[in-house]
Amino acid sequence: MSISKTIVISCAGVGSRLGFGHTKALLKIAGKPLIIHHLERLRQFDDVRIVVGFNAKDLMDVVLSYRKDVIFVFNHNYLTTSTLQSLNSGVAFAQEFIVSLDGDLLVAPDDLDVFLEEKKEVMGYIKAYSDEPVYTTIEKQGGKNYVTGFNRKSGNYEWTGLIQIKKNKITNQGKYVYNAIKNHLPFRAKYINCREIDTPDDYKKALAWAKNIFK
Amino acid sequence: MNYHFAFDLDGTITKTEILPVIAKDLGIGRKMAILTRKTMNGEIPFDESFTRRVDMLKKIPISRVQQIISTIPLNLKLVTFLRSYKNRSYIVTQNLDVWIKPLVERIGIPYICSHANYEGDKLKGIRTILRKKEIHGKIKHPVVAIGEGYNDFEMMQDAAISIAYGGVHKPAPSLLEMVDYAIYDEKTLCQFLKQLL
Repeated sequence: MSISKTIVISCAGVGSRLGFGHTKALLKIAGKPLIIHHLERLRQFDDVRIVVGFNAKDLMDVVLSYRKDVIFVFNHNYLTTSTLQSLNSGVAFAQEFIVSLDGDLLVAPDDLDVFLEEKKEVMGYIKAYSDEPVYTTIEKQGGKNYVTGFNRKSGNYEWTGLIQIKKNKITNQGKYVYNAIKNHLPFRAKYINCREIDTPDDYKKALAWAKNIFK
Repeated sequence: MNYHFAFDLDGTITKTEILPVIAKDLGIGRKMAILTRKTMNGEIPFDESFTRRVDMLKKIPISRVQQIISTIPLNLKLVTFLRSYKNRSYIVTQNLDVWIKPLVERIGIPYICSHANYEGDKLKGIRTILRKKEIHGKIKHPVVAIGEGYNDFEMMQDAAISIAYGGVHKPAPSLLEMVDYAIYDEKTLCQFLKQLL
């Protein structure tokens, strides 16, 4: 078991754009809830925190049926707060490094395994595909890829929401996690095969994508 | 931050609720268990329920109750934590002083509890029922409150950090509406408490 980093899975939001009626972490993908796909990759970590809000009880029951040694962090203000506030609650009293993983992000298992083995700060990016992306500017420095900027207008790549970062860099300034990271660029980047699910169309595409990934 | 820790006793430090175990001695364990569960879930006001439950049990000599309580299994990892940090840990229980004294003294940390009216080995009734809210005037701040029943609501409300513990049984649903954290595994709870030190 590793306690060198804290894993924070943010699952508090309503996911109103999808209109599913449950938290998105309970979406069934390849026969099981999305949150279980995450937990299957996190067996070796013993500081796993799940930030819950909307639909918390159902989500907690599903998690507890899989493993009990997690910490549920409550964001009772989930209707009026966003992902940065949820992450900020999750990082309190955490290890030096935290991995932030969104409850609505489906990640290819092999890519997530490699990402979780990272020992330094790194964030995940992918070729732009989603309806409302946070575009990232990727530049090569010393043979490695770095994110050097974010924007909401155009670009070839988008941020995945996946990041390993020192916890003291997560400050409650702004609405979204990338607002907090903006002050710490350039940030080492790693290509991650994944799908975020925000809309019914995203969900449909993610199901098709998952068929090839979760065989 | 120099936190002080307030632990509920029944179903948090002990692996079972205490009063139903005593009631078994009178053959009314099941009746007591149902009443206790309803109380923990906030379906019956605590004071009314506790008075009824003490009335049911007061015919048992105090020394016998102490003997029964001393056999109740404890969450030993939590007890180790309490003993390791006994200068900043407290047991907070609405159970009666005369009943729990040998148990809490064996654990060896300070405790805040309800008080009995008694004569020798005979319990006559309840003198005062602890309001868990009162601990905030007795324990140094900031306080971390750990419990699982609706009767812990008051001490959690004013705590800097509140943790619902579900390792023995599920925490009261109303508690989950207000706590900062919920933890269902004893080892994980101890690990997190150490992160607060």
